[in-house]
Amino acid sequence: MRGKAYRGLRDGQLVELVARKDAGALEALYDRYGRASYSLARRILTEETLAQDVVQEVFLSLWRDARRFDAGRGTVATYLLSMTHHRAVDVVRREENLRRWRTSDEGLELEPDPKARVEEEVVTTERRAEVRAALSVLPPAQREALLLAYFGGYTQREVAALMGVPLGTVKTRMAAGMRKMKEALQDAGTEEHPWTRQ
Amino acid sequence: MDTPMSHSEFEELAAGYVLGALEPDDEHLFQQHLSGCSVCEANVRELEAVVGELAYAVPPVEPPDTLWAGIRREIRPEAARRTVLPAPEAGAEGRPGPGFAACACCRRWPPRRPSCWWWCCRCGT
Repeated sequence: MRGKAYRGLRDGQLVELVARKDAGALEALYDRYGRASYSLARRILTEETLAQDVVQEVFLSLWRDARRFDAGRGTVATYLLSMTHHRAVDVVRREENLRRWRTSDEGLELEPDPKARVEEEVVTTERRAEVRAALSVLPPAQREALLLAYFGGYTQREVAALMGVPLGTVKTRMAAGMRKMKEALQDAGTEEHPWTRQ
Repeated sequence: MDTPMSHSEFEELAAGYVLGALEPDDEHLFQQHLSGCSVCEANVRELEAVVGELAYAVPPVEPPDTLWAGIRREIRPEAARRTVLPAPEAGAEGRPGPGFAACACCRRWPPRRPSCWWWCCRCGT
């Protein structure tokens, strides 16, 4: 574990330090969220080097302009992962050949990397189980529409073409799927990590 | 000329918006609507949190060490030489880290002065 002195600090405090060009604070945030960011980028892009480029851009972007983070809009984790998602989707839309994940939950069945750090694995395993449980309550058509958009980077019109349904149906499925996901996650009562408290 | 969208149609677009999946024309219309609709703005905030959770559905993959090394190389020229760390608040990790508990010069937690914090934690005494 890097940066022991930063361990007890909350995410928001670390972002404030990053704004003052504290490299140790950026390293601490990377320790907390670098793996989640990289895992997401790998899932979307599949290629290791492209995923690395995306994660590097995300953390360098935070370094260059940490004041863009608005605590009122969500957690640091959401901010970093949302930035990872947007950048990875931008890349995948440019590189059509990367879109080989036609059926959306294919990549979700991959086994965790055995080299993944055990201390963090307990937390992320629980969280992953909750998110997967929330996804599993969705009707398959809604789940597929959501996952094609999120992990495949497909637009609603592209999802409609892939699923062979009208655009309006896809809009309805995504809206209903997101509503059910929200309810399912609320029911699961995902526990907030002490780091993320504002 | 297209008929203006109803509010329920905009509500339906919110999911596609947070997923980054709207077509450019729908996205443009939704963004315009969003700037003046507190209901949709609140809805988008909630859905953004849900979308954020989707990232955790992916099995973890350990990033290569070269990834952080590359970031560090880029930030090194700008990095501050020294920063005074704030005291961690109780509960951020439940207890202070091992370096803090061994603080020899003030013998209390949290340290009384930031400089005390800095030296205790950084020099290891």
